[in-house]
Amino acid sequence: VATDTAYQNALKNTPQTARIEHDRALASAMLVLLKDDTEAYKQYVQNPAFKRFVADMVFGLTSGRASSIRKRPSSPTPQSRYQVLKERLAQSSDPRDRLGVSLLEHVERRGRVTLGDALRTAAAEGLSDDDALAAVERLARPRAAALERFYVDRSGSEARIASPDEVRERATEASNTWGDWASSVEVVWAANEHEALAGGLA
Amino acid sequence: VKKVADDTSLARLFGLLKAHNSNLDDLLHVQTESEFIAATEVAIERAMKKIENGSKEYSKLSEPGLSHLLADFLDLMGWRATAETNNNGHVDVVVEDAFERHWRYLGECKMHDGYQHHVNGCEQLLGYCTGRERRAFCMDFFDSAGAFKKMKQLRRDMDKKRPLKQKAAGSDHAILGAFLTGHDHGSGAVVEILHLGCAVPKP
Repeated sequence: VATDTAYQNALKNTPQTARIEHDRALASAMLVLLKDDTEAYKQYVQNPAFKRFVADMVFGLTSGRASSIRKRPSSPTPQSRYQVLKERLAQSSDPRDRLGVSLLEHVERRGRVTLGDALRTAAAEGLSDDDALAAVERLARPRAAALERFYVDRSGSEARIASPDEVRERATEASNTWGDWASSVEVVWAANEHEALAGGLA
Repeated sequence: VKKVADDTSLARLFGLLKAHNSNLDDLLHVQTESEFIAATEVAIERAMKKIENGSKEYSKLSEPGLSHLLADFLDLMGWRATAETNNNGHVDVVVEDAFERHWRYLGECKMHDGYQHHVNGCEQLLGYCTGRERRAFCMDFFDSAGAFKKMKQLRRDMDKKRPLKQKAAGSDHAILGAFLTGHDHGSGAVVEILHLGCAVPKP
């Protein structure tokens, strides 16, 4: 919906018609759901309260997003945020530093890098699992990219951040209880919780 | 229970950490600062041994390179370590529990260059301490043979000259070649310094 050209133009030039263009764009987007999620489409078409809820929510999200983009034209993009660091790491003779460049590019594309992303990127560059973990932890240092390590618990209906304290406490539980839980928690490095939570099951 | 991709899971991370530190549980169970210091010193010794065992490869690294390597090994064992070059050219190391307990272990790393150079590093280190830290470490990398002999000489010199308000003669430590000294800190506390030598002789 947010990428619909007529809706974008209306937001920028004729805000009074933005809601009309939004509702049209949303109807088109919902039609796509007909193939993948019949129940959602059915609710949207047959349940006025559900339709109003979805429309208000999507309009709130997309119109706010569009306006916030307009208000902050000079805020640094992820690409420019890490550019200086990437240039410095690329010149290093240490392969872990150079691996950091690939991992930062991953963060720029996805907003976060998972442990699996790091291991696979390292393998593709002929480096070990240890190199992967060391390289991503180097990016977490304050004078580097200051990424934070997050534990994204996907065991429930909604993803949530588990605190390091919780991880430590759970790690001391019985091994099968811990093992089940630890298999449903993603290890992610990102600039903030919001970006860590983005993305679905790997 | 929903599972995430194996290579992305917390279970995988713990597998990687335990491959480097079979005593990871010791870190997870620490309750006091003394236990944190004890667990961290075991990890530091292990990291030093890894550097010494790979000295053929690592001896070509500079002072910051060796310090980053030490921090990498500590990261791989479950700690969160940073190594940053300071204005005086030495490297400040901060070692914290990766599971966000409030303790930290400060350190200073440098290439060995005699007694005064070591004392200068200790002075810098004490300057970073607030007085709440019970202990900090000062590690010398030796790029020539005779590391243990030079550490003994360093201890003799410190016991004789008692620099930086050293309270008493140094005491032994479980790590081979290492020793401890206590210093009056500006805060009124006594801060211990663990003096460590890591041998990375050039071939």
